[in-house]
Amino acid sequence: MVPKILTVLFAFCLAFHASAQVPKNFEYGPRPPLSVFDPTGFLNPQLAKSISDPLTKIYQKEKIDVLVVVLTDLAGAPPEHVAKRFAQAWCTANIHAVVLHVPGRKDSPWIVPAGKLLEILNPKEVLKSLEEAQRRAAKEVTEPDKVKAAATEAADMLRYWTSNLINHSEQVQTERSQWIQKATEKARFRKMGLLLLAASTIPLVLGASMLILFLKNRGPRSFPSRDLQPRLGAPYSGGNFAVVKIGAPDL
Amino acid sequence: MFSDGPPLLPILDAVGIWKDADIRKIEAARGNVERRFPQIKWRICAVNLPAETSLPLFGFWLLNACPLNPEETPSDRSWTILLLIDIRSGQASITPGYAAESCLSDDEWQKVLNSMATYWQAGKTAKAVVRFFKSSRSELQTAWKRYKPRRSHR
Repeated sequence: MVPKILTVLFAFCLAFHASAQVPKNFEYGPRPPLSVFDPTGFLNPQLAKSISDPLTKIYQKEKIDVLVVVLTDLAGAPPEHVAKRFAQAWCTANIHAVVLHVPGRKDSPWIVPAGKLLEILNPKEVLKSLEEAQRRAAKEVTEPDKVKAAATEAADMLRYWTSNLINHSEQVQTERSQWIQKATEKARFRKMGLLLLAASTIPLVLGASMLILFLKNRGPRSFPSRDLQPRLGAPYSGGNFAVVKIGAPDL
Repeated sequence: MFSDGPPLLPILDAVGIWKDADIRKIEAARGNVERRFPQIKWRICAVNLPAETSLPLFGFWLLNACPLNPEETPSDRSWTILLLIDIRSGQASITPGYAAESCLSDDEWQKVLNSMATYWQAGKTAKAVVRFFKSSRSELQTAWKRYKPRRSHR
């Protein structure tokens, strides 16, 4: 029985220890002034500042937030989960990333982007960019350099996406304006076409009426017959007085 | 009284005033009017009558005395209009058959005859007759409209 209790106690302690490393209700408190959170002191202060200063400038100018977090252990949690917890607690920009490093881990550092703008991007493109950025950062020799490179790569990646989004947005605006212009022009041409059609109908109708009248009037004519009253015993004609002097021809 | 007349040809040039080309022009003009008014038959005679001969009287005698042509019926003759031109007196007359009398009045026929004068005096005798036919067609068209049956609107 005692060994059982001890096993349970040991497991509980391990879990507690692990849970102490996982940020629940953000036990790390408010975000530090620097963009680098390194409670373990893995990065020397100079290096930490050299990483943090450019990231701070980028955030001030472009509202792109990159946070570097160095932890000793993730306690079995996936890196993305841990990184996102930090992002949720400390990042408010529309696009941000957490560069998470656990010293000694060969697959570290991890770059985890997040933010509302990420939802607009193509997931395949995001994954491809992340893999390339992490591969480039991993080429550095020392771990601190890898962290610095990963931070730089993360910042560049987010800036690239943001500018692409802006360009895309402008392109969409332009295309939309062009579409509206085309639609307006089409509507105008359609209106003109209808007016022309209406205007041309009048001469067409007139022309058709005249043609019908002309065709109607082309046929032979006949006068009504009447009872003939012969005069002076003449069988075919009673004579009349239609005579004029037309003069002599000049032959 | 009405016998022993000569055959009444469509165009009788007793004075040799028209050439073949003139005859063809006159025939064409005549055909044009006959197509529009097929009832009416036309006869044209250019003659040189003795002095003091009454042209209307001569026309009256000619239309009644000439025998019917082989293809002519009495109805055709009564629908005939005879244009008579006397070279000696410089006169032209119209003699209509009984049926054709009602088409135009004497005044209207005189108007048609007067339309010939200008060309006739200029020596364009065939053209004068063509003019006569054109004027006749116009006057007959106007007269026909008076007789045209109208639709009644209830």
